[in-house]
Amino acid sequence: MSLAIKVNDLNMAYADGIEVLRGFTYSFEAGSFTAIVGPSGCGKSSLLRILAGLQSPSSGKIETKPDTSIGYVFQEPTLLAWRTVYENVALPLKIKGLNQQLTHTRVVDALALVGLADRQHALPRELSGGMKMRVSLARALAQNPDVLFMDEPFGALDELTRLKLDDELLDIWRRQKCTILFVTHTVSEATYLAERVLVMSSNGQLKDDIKIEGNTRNEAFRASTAFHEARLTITKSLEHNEEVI
Amino acid sequence: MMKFLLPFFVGSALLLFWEWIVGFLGVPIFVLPPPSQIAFALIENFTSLMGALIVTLSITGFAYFWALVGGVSLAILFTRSRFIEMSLAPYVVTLQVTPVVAIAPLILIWVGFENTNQAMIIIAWIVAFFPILTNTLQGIRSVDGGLHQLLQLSGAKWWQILIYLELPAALPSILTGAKISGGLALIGAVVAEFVAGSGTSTGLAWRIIEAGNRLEIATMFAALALLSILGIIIYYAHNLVEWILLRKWHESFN
Repeated sequence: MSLAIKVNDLNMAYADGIEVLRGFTYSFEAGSFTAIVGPSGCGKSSLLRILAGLQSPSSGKIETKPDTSIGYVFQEPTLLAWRTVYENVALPLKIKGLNQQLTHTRVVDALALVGLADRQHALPRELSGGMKMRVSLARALAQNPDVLFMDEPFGALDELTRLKLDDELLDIWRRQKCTILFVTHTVSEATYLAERVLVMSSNGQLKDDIKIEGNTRNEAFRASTAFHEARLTITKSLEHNEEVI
Repeated sequence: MMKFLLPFFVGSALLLFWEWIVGFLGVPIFVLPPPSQIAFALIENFTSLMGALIVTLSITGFAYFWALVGGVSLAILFTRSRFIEMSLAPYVVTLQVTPVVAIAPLILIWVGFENTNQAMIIIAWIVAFFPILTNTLQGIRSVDGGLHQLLQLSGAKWWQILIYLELPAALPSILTGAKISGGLALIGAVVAEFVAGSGTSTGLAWRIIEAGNRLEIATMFAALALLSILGIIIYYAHNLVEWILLRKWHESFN
């Protein structure tokens, strides 16, 4: 399998001396779904921002294929309140100078993928929290991303909506075959979604790389021993972390 | 409906009381004329008062327009470059805090007494422009960081960030500033007319001074009433623009 992102010895320290990443080295395979978990302040979000190019690392090397297109889903829906759902999803494409025809196709397809084809003309304030997050996801998907960065995207939603969106995301991932890096603080969500779960330690090091067995993701998987064992392994790895502090 | 009826009844009651008390106490007409006399003065001097209204309105309008253009442009410039902001901000504040009545004679001399209208526009502009600048600045600076990052990720140029994000996001603040400036432009125009003095100015404020000198108190009140009406129209015109531009998406119209 080819690599989507190769990260070598990434370090990040802020001006006030706080180190959030130490010697992070990892290779993300193309088309893989990786979840990143860790205690607050361990640098999960910084890692995502650095890999997406929103922030420069203090040192380290990041290699990606040339012309890698990326999508980014923030913790908040980050929608422009004055633009309709359609216009919000279309904005990044408009900025990139895509022609109207292609933009239209991509936006309509992306909205269909997240099940919001009939809400194109709605304004964000007319949508529920879950719907807003779907628009945000559609906006990222419309850019046909090779790599999709997701920073605790469903963290603010209620449990039921989150479970539903988790399933929808997996469905989209299988169809789009993009690489997904998913930061979350919910262990069960990471276990359910990802092929591999990276556990970060509180001092910003990559502590564990846990492979989740099994290809199917459904209610049966949630009830399976494999799911619970994997969840336990991740939790233990995280707990051990707390002792170190 | 009550919103309109209540003020209407209160106003009518007050006018009736005014009309009655002036007659009852025998107040001389050159101290406080009854509303009927003021209405009569308004009708009698209608053409000349309307001419004066147009003069004041045009000074207010020009000052307001340039305050809007200048305030928003300067705010954009300040948010693009910290260097420019640091260099200019103290002078902008100085211009704002120095009483305009004190600078007005200088402006009149510099612009020249043959160009009083321009001088008056400049004076009213100085009064009006600051709220637009500060409100626009605050509006642009309060834009959500996540939205900035979003546009940054799409590779947006500075002007795209300005057009697609910052100006629309700052629009509610800009309109608030504009509403304050609209009222201030009118005050500035009145101050400018007072300062510009005799012979040159023909606006409503000047009509007030002139009528006062001739003890035509009813005409004075008529001009004053027109100024108030002008101020009210400016205020509600802004509310209307706000309603048109923001009602669909902004929280204040929920």
